[in-house]
Amino acid sequence: MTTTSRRLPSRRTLVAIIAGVAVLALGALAFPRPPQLSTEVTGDAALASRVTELATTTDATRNTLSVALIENGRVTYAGLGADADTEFEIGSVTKTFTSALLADSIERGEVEADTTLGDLLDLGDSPAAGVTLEQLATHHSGLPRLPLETDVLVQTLLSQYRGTDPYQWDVDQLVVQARAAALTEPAVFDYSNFGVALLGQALAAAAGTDYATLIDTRIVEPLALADTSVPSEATNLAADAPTGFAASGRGSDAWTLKANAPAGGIRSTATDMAAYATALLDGTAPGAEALEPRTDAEGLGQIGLAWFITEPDGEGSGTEITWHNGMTGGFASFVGLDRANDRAVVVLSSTAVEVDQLGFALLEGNDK
Amino acid sequence: MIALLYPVIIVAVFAALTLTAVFVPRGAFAAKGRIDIVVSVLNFAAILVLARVLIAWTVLPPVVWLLFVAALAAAVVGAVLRWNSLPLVRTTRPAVRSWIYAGINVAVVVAVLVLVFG
Repeated sequence: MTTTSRRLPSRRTLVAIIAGVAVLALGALAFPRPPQLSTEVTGDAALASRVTELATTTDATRNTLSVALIENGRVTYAGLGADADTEFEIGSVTKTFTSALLADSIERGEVEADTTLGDLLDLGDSPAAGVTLEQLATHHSGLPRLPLETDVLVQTLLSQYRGTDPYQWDVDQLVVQARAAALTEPAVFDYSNFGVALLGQALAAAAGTDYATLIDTRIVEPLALADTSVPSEATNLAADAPTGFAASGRGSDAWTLKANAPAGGIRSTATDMAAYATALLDGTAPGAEALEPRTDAEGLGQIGLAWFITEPDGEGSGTEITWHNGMTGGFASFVGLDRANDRAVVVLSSTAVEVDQLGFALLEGNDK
Repeated sequence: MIALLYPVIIVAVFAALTLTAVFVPRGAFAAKGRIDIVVSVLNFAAILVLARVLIAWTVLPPVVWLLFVAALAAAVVGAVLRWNSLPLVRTTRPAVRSWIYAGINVAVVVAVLVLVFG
């Protein structure tokens, strides 16, 4: 009896230890292994070295990077695990293309800055019908960031967990969402993917075509951006279309965004984005007027048509950077222009971790 | 940066609740039956599975994962050691209610995991 009572606790302790070790072993097997920054260098060695230095001193790991630095019309490329022709999702930098379409459509006389959404889309007498195109492009429409509908919110949340494209609505559904949308304060800056998606679809409607075709004919073809496209649907992607990594390190599906493509659906390369930035700097890009500041952007400085205008060294410092960033499920991007000094930078990353700090540092020529 | 820490805080809260349930014999959060312990450990394990795919490991040092796993291992060890000292279900309420609560809890955990990974 005494022997038995000593053995039972021993056996239980042994089972407990085995169970604990099994959990530790399983946990070790599942140890997170986020993507590491590639050491495979392409392009300019000095720029690549600088990018490596900056990327490894910021507080995140990344997979591949492709960078273009434009100075007085001369473009220098560098890549880590990617080259100047590697395709990336540019995410919300797409909004600068959409705003360029707006500026271009105004120049063509198709629309005006104060044309309302209701003039172009079937929004009935809903609050969104009275929103102007300029308000949409400057994020002063009062529309929420995303439609505040249960299916949208659930889909967005689930997609974040599953690493899938959350934007699965076609143009008709987008219009239905707009009809149901309530507005907050239109005079206040409030970043809205929903608003820019509607802007792009409204401009397409004004031109009598679809958004992808409008981007093709009015920006991609004039600037000869051979590897820039708006797939809009996953089925339009090439079988080997690159995908990236979420911030967790998990692989992410490609984002094509369907009707929300005007807010973030463009895929491009450093070569094409450098050509775009160069054309913006010299004023030859269609809709380059979009760069001009129009109103305040609450803590981000000023905003033009989608473009933010910020003084990174503090207000009154004299150095204005005109920029936009972007992020999808597996990619991050940054385009910044120092218009006064004829400089620009493009940063494309295949990991969904912000690259703004890297972009600003390259543009300013220091480590800030 | 702060937003990146929210999942970490949630995991830490579940770790604290589970370790309390397993190792603290009395009090509101103490396990009062084997079913309580199983549910508590299961919830923590499920949260860890979600954390594995949600936490920004590109930003947060992955070694933090080992701390979470060590907490779960400790909870499992504690659960095994306490097993024989606990009744199957707590005696302070009808057994059927404990089974219903446990069933709902397990169903919710399975549903969330299926939604995320299914």
